Amino acid sequence: MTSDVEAGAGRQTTSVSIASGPLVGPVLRRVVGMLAARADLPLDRLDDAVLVADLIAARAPAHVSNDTVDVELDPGDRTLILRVGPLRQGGGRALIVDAAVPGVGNVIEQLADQLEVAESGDVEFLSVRLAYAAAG
Amino acid sequence: MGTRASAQTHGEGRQSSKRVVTSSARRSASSPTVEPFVRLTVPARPEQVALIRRVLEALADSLPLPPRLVEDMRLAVTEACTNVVRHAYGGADGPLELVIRPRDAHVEVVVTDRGLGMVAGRDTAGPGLGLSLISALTDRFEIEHAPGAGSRLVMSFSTHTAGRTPVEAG
Repeated sequence: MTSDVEAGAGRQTTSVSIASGPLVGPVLRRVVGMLAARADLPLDRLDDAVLVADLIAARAPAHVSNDTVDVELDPGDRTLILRVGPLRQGGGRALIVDAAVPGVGNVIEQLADQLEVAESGDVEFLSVRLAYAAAG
Repeated sequence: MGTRASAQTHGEGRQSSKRVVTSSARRSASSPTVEPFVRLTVPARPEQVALIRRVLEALADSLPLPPRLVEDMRLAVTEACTNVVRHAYGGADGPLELVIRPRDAHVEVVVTDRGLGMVAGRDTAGPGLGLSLISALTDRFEIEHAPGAGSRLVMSFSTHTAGRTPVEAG
């Protein structure tokens, strides 16, 4: 098995892989929170990013293609993109649907500026883009 | 300073159990791997050390680890990652990988880079305080490195070392 360091030499994204279990939520929310702050997202969008991270942490283990929850994070200028996967076939859409809260609706769909499910062979990746565009 | 005191205490009497591989032991891609508990890969930049410390905080908040172990681990891992940021890539960009594997009796932490290997920096005559500190804080550590192929520092922190009484879960 090739480590991320060997596979990703030269890449400048942050990636985290966490075995499904009690660490997924605490680790993911901290990583996402810190990178959202560095992306200069305002406080309300930072809160949104952490909420999305919590939902992914809670729901993704049921849809991943192995025993780990893997997320790539790409912070930009007032933008943070989370790429979740590999997920099982159908897992991208299922993860979004699972994030629905009775009476509130689908939280990830409501908070994300863009959602995209991409297939790659037998697996899928869910991209969630959170951004802030200043009014004006 | 509690951390310093604990560093000296843990370092004494454990030197014989440590193995430092300073030869050019090139890592093999086919070496057996265990599924990591947490693996974080970040660009080797100063600001990422803070992110790594946040991940260690998450570990400490989520698992019944002795507070002393968490303190030692935080200091040793910070030192190891700072070494990568300062020396591994000679100012160029490159990845830093942190793997944390909690086990029954110990926590294993591996810090890996793909940089220059362990060479004396221009500002030092050789390994400085960093490795001595890591040696004192860990129960076992190993270094594998090869010029131009990066380095891999494996640190093990026992949960049963004196002063590291495990915390009751719940």
